[in-house]
Amino acid sequence: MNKHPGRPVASGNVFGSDSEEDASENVSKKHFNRLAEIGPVISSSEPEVREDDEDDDVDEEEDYMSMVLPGHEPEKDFDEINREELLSKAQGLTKEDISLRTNLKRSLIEREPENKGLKMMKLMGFKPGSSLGAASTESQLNKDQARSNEPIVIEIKKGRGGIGYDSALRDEVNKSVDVAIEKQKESKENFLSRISESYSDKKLSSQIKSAQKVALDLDATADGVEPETIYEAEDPFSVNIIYRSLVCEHQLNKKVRELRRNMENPSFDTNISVELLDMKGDDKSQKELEEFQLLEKSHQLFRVLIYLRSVYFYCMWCGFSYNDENDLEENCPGMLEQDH
Amino acid sequence: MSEEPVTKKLKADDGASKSNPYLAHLENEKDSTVSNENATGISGIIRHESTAAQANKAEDGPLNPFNGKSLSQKYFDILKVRRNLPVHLQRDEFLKMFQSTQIMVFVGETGSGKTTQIPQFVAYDDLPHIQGKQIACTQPRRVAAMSVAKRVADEMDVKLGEEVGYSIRFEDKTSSNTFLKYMTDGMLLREAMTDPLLQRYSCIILDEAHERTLSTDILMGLIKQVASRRPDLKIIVMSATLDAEKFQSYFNDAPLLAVPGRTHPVEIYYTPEYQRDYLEAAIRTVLQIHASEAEGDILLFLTGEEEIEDACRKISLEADELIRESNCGPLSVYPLYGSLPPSQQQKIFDPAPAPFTPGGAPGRKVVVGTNIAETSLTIDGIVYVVDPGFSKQKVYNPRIRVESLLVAPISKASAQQRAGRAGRTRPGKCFRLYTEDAFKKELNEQSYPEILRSNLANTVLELKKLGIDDLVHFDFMDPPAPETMMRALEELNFLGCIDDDGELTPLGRMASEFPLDPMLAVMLIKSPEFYCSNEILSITALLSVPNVFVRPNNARKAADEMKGVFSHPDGDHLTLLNVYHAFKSPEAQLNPSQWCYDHFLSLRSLQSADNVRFQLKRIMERNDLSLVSTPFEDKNYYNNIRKSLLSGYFMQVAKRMSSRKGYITVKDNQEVLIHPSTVIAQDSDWVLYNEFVLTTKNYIRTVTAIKPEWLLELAPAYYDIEAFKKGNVDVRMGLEAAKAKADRLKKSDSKRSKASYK
Repeated sequence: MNKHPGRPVASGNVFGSDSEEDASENVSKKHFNRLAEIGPVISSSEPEVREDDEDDDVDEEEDYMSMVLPGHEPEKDFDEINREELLSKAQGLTKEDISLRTNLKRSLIEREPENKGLKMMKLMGFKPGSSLGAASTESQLNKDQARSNEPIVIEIKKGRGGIGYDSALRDEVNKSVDVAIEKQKESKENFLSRISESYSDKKLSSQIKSAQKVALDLDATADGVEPETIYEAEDPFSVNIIYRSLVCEHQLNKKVRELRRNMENPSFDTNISVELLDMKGDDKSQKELEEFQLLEKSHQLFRVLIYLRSVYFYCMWCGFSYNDENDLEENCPGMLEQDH
Repeated sequence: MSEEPVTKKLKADDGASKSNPYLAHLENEKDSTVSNENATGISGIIRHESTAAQANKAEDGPLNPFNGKSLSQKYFDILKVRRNLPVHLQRDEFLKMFQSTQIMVFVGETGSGKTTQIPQFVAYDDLPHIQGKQIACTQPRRVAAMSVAKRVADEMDVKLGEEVGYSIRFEDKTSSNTFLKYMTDGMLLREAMTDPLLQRYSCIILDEAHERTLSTDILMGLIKQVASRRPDLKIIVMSATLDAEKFQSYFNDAPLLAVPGRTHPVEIYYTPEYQRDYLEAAIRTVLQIHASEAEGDILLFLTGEEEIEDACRKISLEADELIRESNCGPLSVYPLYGSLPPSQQQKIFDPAPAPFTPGGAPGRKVVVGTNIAETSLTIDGIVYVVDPGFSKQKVYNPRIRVESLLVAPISKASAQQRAGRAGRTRPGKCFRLYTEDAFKKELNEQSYPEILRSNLANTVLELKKLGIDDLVHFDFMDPPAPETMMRALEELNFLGCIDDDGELTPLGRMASEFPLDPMLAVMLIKSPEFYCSNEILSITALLSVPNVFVRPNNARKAADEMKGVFSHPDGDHLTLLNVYHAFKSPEAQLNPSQWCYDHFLSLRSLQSADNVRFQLKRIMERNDLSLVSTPFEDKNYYNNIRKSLLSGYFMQVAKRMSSRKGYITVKDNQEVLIHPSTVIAQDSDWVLYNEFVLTTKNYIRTVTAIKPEWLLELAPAYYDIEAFKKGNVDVRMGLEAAKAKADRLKKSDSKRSKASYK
């Protein structure tokens, strides 16, 4: 599966030429829209998230990033999510790898405060944060070397790169990801400036909506569910941010219609009506939605389009999915309608 | 040589007693020393006051000082060789330190003769046979314990198993006459469970301590405690590497004696750039050495069996070409790894091939080995070492609960050790397949001791059995991560081996008597409840030996087809059982070797499984565990076995994911795939697994299909549905469905039983 060692290191191709790696490609393609799921397993599905839990969550993501990307401050931005996507793609990471990495970072002592083993250790005088061993040993060791209480980090070596190869490769990957992101930023600016010249707000709104519908359909197909499952999601705030506004709007309209129907009913209780219209997600996902909606319309459209292009190699205007990045780059005239 | 100068002796004693708190006992002890000229023939030797001269004289015969028999010519031949070993020069120095202190650290490089000679030096001074005591010398590896014991029995001209013996898991070759016992460190630890003060020993030698195996680490902690309660016990910690300060300071600044190895300078070469494929680079380097370097054999370090066999093939092929094209000498290539049959392992000691024509280019031998060749084995004639810088290392992480062998960079200390192998015969060269910069930046100083890389469930059970209640403050040389111990305690609690207060339960006490992993031990102990202890006993034995299936590279398809003959649709454990039953059939027993060859099975593994089964059976009988079987015709024959497997392995269960390919482990939510070697036929929703292997993919290996109802029935505490509320949806829903089904069945059962009472 891993073909890195065979590849020339310096060509910069390490990141791009993934055509032989179809299997892992598919996984990492899906990984993009599932990225949001990896965190929530820990926290956001629990309604009563403590403040510091959320912080942990952020730390974890930062940890993950700093592991592969020393010296890069992760921005909590759309571009950042894309960076992660690009990185795991470039490193040939599978879904299983990512699940492994996530699990490896969570301390059991914090994760399982009710753990019976931990309780027994406390009975023996253990204090969380301290290390095991005789008091004398501890002080000796502290003199020698600072001992970490952390379990030894597991790193899975893929391929037969010699000592020093993996870190060189990592630098290479980081560089190529930087280049890709730079390129994307350029195209974003280009896109934004061109689009605001020629599009009215109204037209933009309708294009955002159709692009969102396509994204939702593609995600549904990838997950093997009907699009309705997403439209009718129990928590509309839990769906992908790319089309969260669409789903929320859909559900709101539905409720309004229901409300209207009920108003005609004489036994209608007005208290319920307020409750019906009160749609709220947890803080985090709601804030995310607000941020999305505060963006310029053109920026919103850009986000949806780039999602389609990077995850599904899909172009709105061509109306179909290309085979891969190169295919898309070479054969699609551009991101804008007028390019076509 | 006569007596040692008295002044010097006194000085040594004085110095030592000031610095060493363990000397308080010496005064009393002198009264109890025995001079036993007539009975033993060790003339004039006073216990703990002997000199090298006295010992040499006793060794010179003509009668064997330990059994009074006359010494053979072979004995004297070996004696000559022994007296040339580096340790021999420092025998007096050793004796003085041994006599003056309770604990000492001894450093001698591989080949110095420490493993064979030091225990004999001790025997001639400690006189254990007169005391009715024994000397123990621990080894990390079974093979080493056996082969060294054999060698030392020869050196002392006694029969192996009499005065000199060995004791390893599933094999005890000692008798009431044995006073020098080589044993695995794990065996000494097991003995400590029934004999906490190790009363039968007067001296304990912990050999190869630098390897820092789990058992050696625990033993060191234990012996440190025992030492203060048994001032008469002598302890020698032996290490092959020079990082002895850590041992010294751990044992309260014990004195150190170092015997320089007989080494020559080794030139070290680094590559100018990092390598994209270390295997390819290694092969290239070996061939280049053969083509251009002076006479001398080559040692190449690689990570595992498959890689080594692959490299051997490629080197042979390319060497043939090289020989055709240029006038190189012949090249013979030998693999070396743990699971290699001993007869083949022996081949590495064959001399290099002779030149094609007298006076032509010299022949050369290449040994391609794992890190066994790093410290524990000395191969004469090695002048060139090729070191890619990797080895396979066990790792454990409590957060994902996986213990696996992974390829990882070696430490700087290991790299030094490897380089040293080139300088045993004459000045040598070491080719490191990485840059000097990478050596400095990417390699750790020291390798992690095993205790930091292991699941500690078994160790915690052992410590509990040893009577150590406060595990948190046990004097570990390198304390494990708290989370590792937390997991171990939790696992033992779920298995029922310890209660909520951390106290050993009767089940746990019994489990600790089996030299098995707690999960296996509990499975075996509970198997009579499922009417299949005979079968579980066989499966346990098969899981305790190397893989029984052989899959040669040139006959993979045929091997897989043959495996298909034994395969059971419910999974690998039952397939193993089929293999064992077939192996025990009269047809197979007619000519087991041919039968195994025909069926692509390892005779060695099956025979050792047979032996393990016999040993475990004895322990079961001792514990009044009955050996029973469900009649084969009974429709529950296989179900009972599967349930019984689950009673031990309920913590290693995975559920198939509904939306994707693959499985997810319960509780840890780790996404995994089933290993391609499995025979499991139907895509079962729930499986238990023996092993979680991390390779380029995450696999579970040796799997058996189970029913989710059984989880709730057999391990209700672990499968408390409440605890899964936050976990994976697939797992939660699966369990809830199983619960609903079980409840329905219960209801209809009770209705039916009510009906039948009417």
